[in-house]
Amino acid sequence: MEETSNSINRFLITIASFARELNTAKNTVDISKAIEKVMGRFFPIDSSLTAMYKDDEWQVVRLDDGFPLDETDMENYYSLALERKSPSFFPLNDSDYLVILPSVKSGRLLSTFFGYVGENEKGFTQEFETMFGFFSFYSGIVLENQGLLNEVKDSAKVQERLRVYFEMMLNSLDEGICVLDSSGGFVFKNKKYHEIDPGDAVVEQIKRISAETFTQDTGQAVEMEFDEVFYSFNSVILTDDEQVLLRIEDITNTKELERMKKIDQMKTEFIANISHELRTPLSAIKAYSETIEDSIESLDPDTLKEFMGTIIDQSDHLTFLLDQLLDFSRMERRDLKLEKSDFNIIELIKKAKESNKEKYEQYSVRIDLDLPEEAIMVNADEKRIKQVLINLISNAVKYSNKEMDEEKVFVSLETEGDEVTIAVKDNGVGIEESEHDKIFNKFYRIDSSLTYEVEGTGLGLSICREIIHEHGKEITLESSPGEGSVFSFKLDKAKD
Amino acid sequence: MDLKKTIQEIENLPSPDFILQKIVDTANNPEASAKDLNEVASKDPGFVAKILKLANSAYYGLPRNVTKLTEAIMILGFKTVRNMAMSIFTGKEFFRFETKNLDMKEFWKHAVVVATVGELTAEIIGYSNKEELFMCGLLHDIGKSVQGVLFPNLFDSIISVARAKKISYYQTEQRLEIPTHEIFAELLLEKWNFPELVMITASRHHRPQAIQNSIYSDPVNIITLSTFIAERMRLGDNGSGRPIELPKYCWDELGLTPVIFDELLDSVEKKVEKIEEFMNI
Repeated sequence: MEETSNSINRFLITIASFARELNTAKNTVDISKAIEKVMGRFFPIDSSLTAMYKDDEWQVVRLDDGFPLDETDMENYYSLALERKSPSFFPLNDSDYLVILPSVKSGRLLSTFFGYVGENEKGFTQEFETMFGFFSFYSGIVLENQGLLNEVKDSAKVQERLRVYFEMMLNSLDEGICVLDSSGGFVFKNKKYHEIDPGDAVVEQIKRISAETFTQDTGQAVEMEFDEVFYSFNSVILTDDEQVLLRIEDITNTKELERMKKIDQMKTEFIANISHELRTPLSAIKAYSETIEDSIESLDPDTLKEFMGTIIDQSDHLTFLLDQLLDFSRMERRDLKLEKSDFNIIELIKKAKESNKEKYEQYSVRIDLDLPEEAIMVNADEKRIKQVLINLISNAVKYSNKEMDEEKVFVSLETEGDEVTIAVKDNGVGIEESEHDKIFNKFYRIDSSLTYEVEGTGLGLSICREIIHEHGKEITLESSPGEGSVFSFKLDKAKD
Repeated sequence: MDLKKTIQEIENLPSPDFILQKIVDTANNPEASAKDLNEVASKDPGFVAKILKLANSAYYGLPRNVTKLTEAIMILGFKTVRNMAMSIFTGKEFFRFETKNLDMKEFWKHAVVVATVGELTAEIIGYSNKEELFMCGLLHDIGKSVQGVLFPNLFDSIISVARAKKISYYQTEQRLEIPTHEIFAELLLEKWNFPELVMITASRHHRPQAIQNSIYSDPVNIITLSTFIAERMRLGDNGSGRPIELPKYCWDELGLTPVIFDELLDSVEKKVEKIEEFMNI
């Protein structure tokens, strides 16, 4: 009984040592060394060979110099290890043994330690069998865990390489990329995103668009302006609805380019337009002049006077057009100089109406004036303001609604404090809300430019706005389709 | 049936002789050396020759012939040599009785196959004490042999009923309300003073749930599984009228998966091809 308990103690102490050795083992070679070290305490191991068994092949991972068995000898012992999967003490001759200790896990042989024992005086006891059976079993578990750990490490390496690779690709893009999770937290930002360095307002938008993408369950495309910088945002759902990827692009330059392109197009249309506008009076002047030259003798004075009148009218119109062009080019150069003086605005409005007489008679539009009796003196550039009034009235007449029973233009003036407000109201076709800003743009015409249904250069309102702007005021517009339009602007009263 | 009388009858059954008893003891004695055992065994050269014949059979796949018992012990281990000795003893003394309804060769094959499957299962599921499972498998139905040797008529009628009713041998014993072969095995192995592990597996393999959560639950589950595999693969005959069902908890407890089970069946097929020498005992 005492013998048995001694033996159990020896067994436990040996197992503890072996476990301690394996604790720091990192690979098959370390495990082989642990086996040799602990086993060597029972009998001297002269030299050893350790081979891994993988994919039906033996691969020697550790071999001592002087290990007496060559590859051919080993074939037998390899197959014995494989067949038995148990420790064995193989007598090679009367005194020498080969200790075979396979590391086995779940019936699979992972590796085998072969130790050459020159002389074993102690003899072979059952204790070895039990102990080495345990070595075989335990080393198998450690070895398999090492293998699994290495697999995990390898796959982590591969993943890291892939991550770096994809990050490189994402960083090479000319668009800012960021990925957000469903709670609005940033998961990834590429290099360009940091370069764009979006401010808080933009980040807020990014989060909003991301949240929108989740609720709508579909990618979003948004363009937005922040402090004169235009951004485009495109979102797409990633990885099973858990994340959203956003592409952010600074499209300010693109926008500017678009604008320039539009201006360029408008200029082209303008040239076609203005040629037409200039040709009409010129043709008339030429035609009348030729008629007069051809038949000066046969023309009676009244007819002649009428012809000459037409030539003068058309020349005036030509002058007007050329003035407009000149003004426009000055405006382009920011060279519009005002010559301010005090004058009676009431008179000026009446003159402006008079100047449009021919036009409103031609279009059969009635112009009503609602003006105070007394003279109202304002301080402004009289010539320019007349130009504005003529233009607004002319537009009101031109864009009158032919379907109305009575086409009317209504010019009114109200005084309020130091200012007067002049309003030109019509019951014409009206203007879509979306067009309100655009009509003040250079060359812009509501009808498609080249149909010439309504004459004009497309510069009028643009010039008007510029003139009023130079006076420190704004032209305002109230209008909707079918309801007519009201253009109004303010002027400063003359100081007493 | 009078159990007292049965116990007395069991006294008349063959017992392991001194040499076999010594072999069984040394397999459990850490101090035992190969030399000691060799000295004892040399007193019965015939028995040693039989052991060496088995050791050199294809079943163990040794690279060269072993000619001494010490060599066999060192190469194959005490426990495996013990398993061979037990096979020689039981094969001769307990699987050669007179019966009308069971082919003894097939009955013996069942024992060897369950022993083989037991050891392979232990290996595959990572139960480190695999050699013990061979002995447990070998002796799991020794109770039937006791029945067959002592009460041949009873043994034959159990098999007749089992086959007619298409129920298992164990179910038949229960229906006929006679002491089961599990009880006979327990009586015999107790008398032999054999390791508790062997006795428990032989006396619980039809009701593994009775031994769950004990240190013996793994070996009992393994033997139940091995019986199931042997019956389903129709390797040998144990007198049953219907193969047993495998309790789900055996499968779960042993951590089996279809992949592991498939591997096990593969290795069983390969190993069973090599049991020829055991059949000639």
